Amino acid sequence: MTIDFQSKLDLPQVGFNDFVRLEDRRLLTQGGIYVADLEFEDLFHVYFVRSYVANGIIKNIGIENAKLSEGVIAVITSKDIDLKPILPARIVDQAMVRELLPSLRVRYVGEPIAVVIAKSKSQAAAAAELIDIEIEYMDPIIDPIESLGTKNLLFEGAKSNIASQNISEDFDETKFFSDCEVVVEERYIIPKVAPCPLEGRAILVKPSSEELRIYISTQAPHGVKDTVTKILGVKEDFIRVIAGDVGGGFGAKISVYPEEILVAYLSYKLNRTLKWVEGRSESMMALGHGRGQIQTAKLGGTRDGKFTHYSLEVIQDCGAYPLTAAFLPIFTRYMTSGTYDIANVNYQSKSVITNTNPVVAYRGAGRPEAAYAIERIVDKFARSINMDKVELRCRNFVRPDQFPYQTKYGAVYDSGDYETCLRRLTDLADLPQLREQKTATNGSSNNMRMGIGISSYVEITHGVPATEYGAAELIKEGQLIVKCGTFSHGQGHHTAFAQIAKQVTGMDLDDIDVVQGDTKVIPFGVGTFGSRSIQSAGVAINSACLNLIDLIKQFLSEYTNCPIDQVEFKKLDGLFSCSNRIYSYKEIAKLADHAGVRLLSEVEYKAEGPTYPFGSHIAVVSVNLDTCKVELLKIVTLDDAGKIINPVLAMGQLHGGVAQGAGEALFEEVIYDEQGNLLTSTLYDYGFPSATELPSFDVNLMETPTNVNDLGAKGIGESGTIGVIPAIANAVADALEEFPNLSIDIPTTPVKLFKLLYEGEMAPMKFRSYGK
Amino acid sequence: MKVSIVINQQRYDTEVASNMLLVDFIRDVAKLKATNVGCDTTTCGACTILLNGESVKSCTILAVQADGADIVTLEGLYTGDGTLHPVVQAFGRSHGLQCGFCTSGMVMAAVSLLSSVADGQVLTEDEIRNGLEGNLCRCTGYQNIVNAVKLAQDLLIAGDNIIS
Repeated sequence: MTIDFQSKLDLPQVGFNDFVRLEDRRLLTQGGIYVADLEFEDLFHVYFVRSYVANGIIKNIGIENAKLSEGVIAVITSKDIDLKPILPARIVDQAMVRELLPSLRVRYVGEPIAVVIAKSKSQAAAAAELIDIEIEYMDPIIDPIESLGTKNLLFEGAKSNIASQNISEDFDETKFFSDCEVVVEERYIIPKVAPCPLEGRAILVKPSSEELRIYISTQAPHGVKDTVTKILGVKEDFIRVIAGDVGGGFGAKISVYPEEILVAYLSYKLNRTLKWVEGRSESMMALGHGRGQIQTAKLGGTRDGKFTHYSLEVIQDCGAYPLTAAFLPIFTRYMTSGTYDIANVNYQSKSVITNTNPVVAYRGAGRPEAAYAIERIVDKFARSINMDKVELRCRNFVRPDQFPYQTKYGAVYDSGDYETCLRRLTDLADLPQLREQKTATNGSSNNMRMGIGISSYVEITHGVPATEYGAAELIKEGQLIVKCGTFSHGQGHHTAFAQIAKQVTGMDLDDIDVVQGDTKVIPFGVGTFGSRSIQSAGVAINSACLNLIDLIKQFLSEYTNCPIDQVEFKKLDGLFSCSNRIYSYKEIAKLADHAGVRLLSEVEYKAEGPTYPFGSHIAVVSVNLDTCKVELLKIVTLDDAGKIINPVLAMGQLHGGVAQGAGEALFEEVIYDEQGNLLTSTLYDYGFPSATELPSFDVNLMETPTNVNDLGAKGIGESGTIGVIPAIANAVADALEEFPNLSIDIPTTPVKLFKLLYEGEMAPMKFRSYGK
Repeated sequence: MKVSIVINQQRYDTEVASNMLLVDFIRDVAKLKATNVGCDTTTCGACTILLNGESVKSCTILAVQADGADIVTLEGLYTGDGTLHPVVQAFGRSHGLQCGFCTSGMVMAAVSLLSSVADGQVLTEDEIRNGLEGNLCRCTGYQNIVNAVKLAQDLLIAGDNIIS
C-alpha cells in the first residue's frame, strides 16, 4: 500500500460553510498527512546513533555486530561517506567547520555519529544498541561565559571560542554615560528553549533515475532543494522536494539538518527509499534550540525621565556549531533601542561556542531578546526616578511625525503610533482599576503579591527581503489556481491567500485552490519564517491576480473583437462583459482552453524593505511568597501589523505567540548538567504549557498600514511572543518591588524565585517554619 | 497473538506482536493516519482515541489490551453524509487548530470530555481547561480550542445530540 501526500479522501463539500479555514475541511475529517504517515513499497528505516559525551575524541566505533543484526542493510560512519564538511558562514571563524558525521571530535550530547538502516524501525533501533562506541572524554564547556574566558578551544585552529561578533572598538562606557543624571544597569539571562513543534523532524527520500524525491517536514522546501543539490553535487532539478502537512516549525525547521542531508545522501548512494522520523527525546536534544542570550543593559537619562544613552552587550550561546545563532545578535542589534527615540545607542555582541545542541531561529529570533532588554531596563529606570511606567514610555517613544524613523543600527521604522497604542491598551485593560486592585491585595495579604507588567515593542518582519514567487492561473475547469513560494505549516495561508485572490477576482473561495510545497510545481520560493509570508507571497499573489484580470480582458478583447477599453470587469459578481454579452470565469476558462490560450500570470516580487509591526502588552501576575509560585492572571494585548487580511487568523497567530512567550517567561528552559547531559529531554521534564497553566488572553488589533507594499500589511507571526515575555517578567518584578535588588530572570519558576528570596546571606526572606 | 478490534465500526481480526502499541495498530494495521504520535512518553495526547467511549492515549496501551474493544478515531466522526459531528464543527468554526498535528487527539479528548457531562450540567472554562490538560498544543495557545469546546457544548445542548 502506498500513502502519499496526495492520498486524500474525496470529501463531499458540505457542512463546511462556517469553517474559518479551507484547510480545516481536510484536517478535521481525515487528519493531515504528515511525513510519518507516508507509506511506500520497499521502504527502509533510518536510525541515528548519537554521542553520549558532550566533548570528546572518538576512539572507535565498533559496527560489526550491528551489521549482522536482523533486517540491517547498512551501518554508516564518517568513513563511509564522501561528503565535504559544512563550511561556516562568512562572518564566522573559518575553523568552525562541521562534518556531517564527525570523524574525530564530538561536540554535544545528541550529535549524530553513526547511521543504521534496516527493514523496520525497531530492527534499526535494536541494531543501534549493538554498536560499540568508545569516546575519550574531555571537559565540556556548557556556560558561554566560561567559553569566552577559557584557553580551552572547542575548535582546533580557531582564534577563540567566539564564532562571530559585533564590537565597537572605540566605545568607552564610562565616558558614554558620564553626562547622564541617572544611570541604571541590569544583567539578564535569557535561557535556551526548545521549540517543541508537536511533529518533530521527519524525512522520506525516494530515489529514481529521473529524480531524488524528498518528502520532508520543513518551513522552506526550496531551501532544502538548494542545500541538498549543492551538497550532493547533482544537476539542478534532480532534487525534488515535496512538503505536505507540517506539524509546526517555529523557526526550527527553516534550515536543513545534517540528519536530513544524510538521509538524502544515503538514499541516493544506496538507491533505497529511506524514512526517518525522529522521536521526542531525539527532538529535544538535536532539533535546534532557541534564544540563549546573556545581556547587560545600561540606560542613562535625565531625572525628569528622558532617555539619552543606552548600551546593550550581548553574549549569544551558539551551541556546538555556529548556525543561525551566529546571526541572531544582528537582529537583536537592529531592534536595540526598541520603540524609543534615544540619541546615543551602543550595541556589542559575541556569539560563543559551547558543548550543547546548536541554537537556531525560534519565534522572534533575536527580536524578543532586544525587546526584553530594553523593556526591563526601562522599568528599572522608572522605579529609580519614581515615575509612572506608562508616562515614562510615552515621554520617550518615537513620535508619529518622526516616521520613517532611522535607527543607529540601520533599521528604518516604516510606520507606527506607539503612544496611541499604549494609551489605548491601558484603557482596554483598565489599568487604573488593576492598580487599585494591586494596592488592595498587596496591602492586605501576608504572602500574596500582585504585579502588573507593561511592555511596548517594535519588531522587524521580512527582515531580509528576498524575491518571492506568486502566481494565479485560471484553469480550464474554471478554477483559480494560486501558487506561492512561501510554505504554510499551520498559519492558514490556503485561506489567507485564497482570500487575497478573492478580493481581486471576485471568485468564490470554493473555486480557488492554493498550491505550495512542491519544488517541481513551484519554480522558486523562499519559505515561511520571519513573519514574511503575507508581505512577500501575499503581495505577489495580489499582483498576479490583478495581472490575470488584464490577461482575461485582453483575451476577451481578441476573442470577441471588442476594443479592450470596452471589456468591463465587474468584481462584485466575478463577471466580465463585452460586446453586450456577459462572461463568467467558467465560460472564459473553456473558451481560452479551446483557443489554446493559457491564462497564467506569474510574479516575482521583491519587497522594498522590511516592515516594523509594533504593539503593547499588559500582564498581571500573582506571586505567592511562601510557595514562590507565579500565576498568570491576565494578559491584555494591542498589536499593530498594518492592514490585516484575516483578523481571525491574525488573532490566532497572536494567541499562539503569546502562549509560547508566556511559556518561556514562566516555565520553559533547556537545562544541561555540568557534563553536558540534557536534563530536559522529554515533554515531562520540559516546561511545555498545557491549557490549565494559561488564562484566556484578551487580544486586540489596531491597524496602521505600511507604504512598503501594496497590501499595507506587516507580519504578525512573532509579535505575540516578542511583546509578552518582557510584560510577564516586568509583572513579576512589579509584584516583588519591595525587593528591588533581586535579579529576576525568566523563566520565573518557583525554584528560581525560592533561591532568590530565601537562599544565601543576601536573601530578603527568612524561611518560616510552620507548626512550631 | 490474535486480536479482534473494532475501529470506526470496522472489525480487524489479526495476529499482532505482543509488544505492539495500540497506536501502531491503528496507524500501521488499520492504516488510519489521523491519530498521531507526538512524544513517546504519554505526555502530549496527539494519539488520543475513544476506547469503549472513553478517551485513551493509544501510545500507552498495547494492541492486545484492546482486544474486543470498540475504538473511534477522528476519521470515525466523519460520516460523509453532509452532517458534521458537533465537536468537529465547533473546531472548524472557532479556528481551534493551526498545524493540525494535535488536532485529532484534541478533538477526541473533547468528545470524551463532553460525553462525560451529566444532563443539565454545563462545563465552565476552568473545567474545560482541566479536562484538556492531557493534550498539548504548541500553535493555538489553547484559547480557541477552549472556545471550540464551549461552542460544541452549546451545539450539543441546542441539538440534543448524543455523542458516541
